[in-house]
Amino acid sequence: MALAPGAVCVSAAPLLTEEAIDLLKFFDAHVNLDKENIPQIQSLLRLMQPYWSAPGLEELQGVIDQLKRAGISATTQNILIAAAYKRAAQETVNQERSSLYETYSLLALDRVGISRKVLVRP
Amino acid sequence: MSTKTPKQILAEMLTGKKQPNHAQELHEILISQIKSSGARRKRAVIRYILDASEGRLAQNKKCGGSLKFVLWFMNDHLGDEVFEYYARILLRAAIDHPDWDLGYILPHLEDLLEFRPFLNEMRRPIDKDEKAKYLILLDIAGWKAAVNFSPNNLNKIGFDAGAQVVISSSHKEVMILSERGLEVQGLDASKGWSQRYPNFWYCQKRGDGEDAWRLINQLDEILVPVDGQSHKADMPITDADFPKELVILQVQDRVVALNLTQKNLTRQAFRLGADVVLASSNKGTMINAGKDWVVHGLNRDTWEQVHANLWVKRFRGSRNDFREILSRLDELLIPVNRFIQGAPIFI
Repeated sequence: MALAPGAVCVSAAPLLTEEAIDLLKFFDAHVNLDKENIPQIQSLLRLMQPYWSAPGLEELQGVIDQLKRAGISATTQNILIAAAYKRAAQETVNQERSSLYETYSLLALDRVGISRKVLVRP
Repeated sequence: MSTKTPKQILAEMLTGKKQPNHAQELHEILISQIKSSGARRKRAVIRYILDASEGRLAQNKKCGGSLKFVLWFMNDHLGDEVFEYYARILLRAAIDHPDWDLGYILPHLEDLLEFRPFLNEMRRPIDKDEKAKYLILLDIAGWKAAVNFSPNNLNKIGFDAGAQVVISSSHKEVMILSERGLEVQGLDASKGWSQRYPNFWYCQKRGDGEDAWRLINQLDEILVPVDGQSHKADMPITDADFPKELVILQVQDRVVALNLTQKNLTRQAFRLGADVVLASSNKGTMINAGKDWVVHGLNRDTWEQVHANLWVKRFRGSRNDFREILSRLDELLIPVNRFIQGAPIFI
């Protein structure tokens, strides 16, 4: 939609704090987030919870852009995307949509070879 | 399909005694009836039934409203005994009315009280597209097959769709019918199979779905070209490359490997070019697609999704599951790129 003359365009504020990004960088650098390391991935998801205050799927794009800019690995990004889809699947009442989000969630994990077990009680 | 064919019913009517359900013997009985009968119309009806049953009927004599169509319709709608009763009335009327066109007998059925309740439905045009939905069309080892798990007679629709062989398995029966030029041979009579025509075998038992897969697996052995020449199409994938335990089908342009054994042959199947593997064993049923595909849309109450491309049903597998999956393959098996097109987010 075209902006009216004089209107101010405000970009959405980043959803993750610098602290959260630093935490993710730490994980990326020091923790081997592979399929064998389910407890560590679950720790990551637990730690991330307060920082991204459950962004809806619409806001998630902003978060992912942030992660990309910060150089966070694709593995970590996909884990977070999978977690967001999993939560969306659990929260939506529309069965068809919920099922779709479940598959999206698994696809995000499959892409980085991470087991779905990481999303069980993160 | 009744246990008695129109050919057998006609032979019994004309000879006044029970006749064996054997295609060649019935053929000979009816030919001798033609030779001994002075009545021209009777000879014409016998010839029509012989031509109809042996695949020689001209197109204009077998379409909607023909004697063959009405017999086929009644067979589909009635139980065995009632069908025989109706077939006898119809065949008798056809013999007694030389003015009735055997290629379009339907308008005269108003004269036959018993047929009146069915006339409206018989007159309704057949919705082929609707009926075709009940068929699974597949390519197997170079053969084009149509598998019908419904109790309806979809043979013509299967052949019109390009199938060389139609296999049906339902609560009523199991049967296999091949196109003209192909004969079906070597089914096991001790397991209830009987050969009605050279291209048609019938087994009057409740189909369990597995019968169809067993037949599909045997096509190379049981389909025999009458002219001795190959009727098979070239397979894009060399079937011979696959382990014998796997049944390789092409369904809606996808290569499907059916694993009916207890062994894990999934990796092998993918290495050899299968797009999707279906397996059923004591442990359960599984559908696993290659990495470029997503499998989506199965019922989560009974199926568990392990990966985006892998679902399992963790109790004793039923090959009936194959039927659901194959008939919905186009909808269930989605290329990854297409699947994520509408997703809110993916990297």
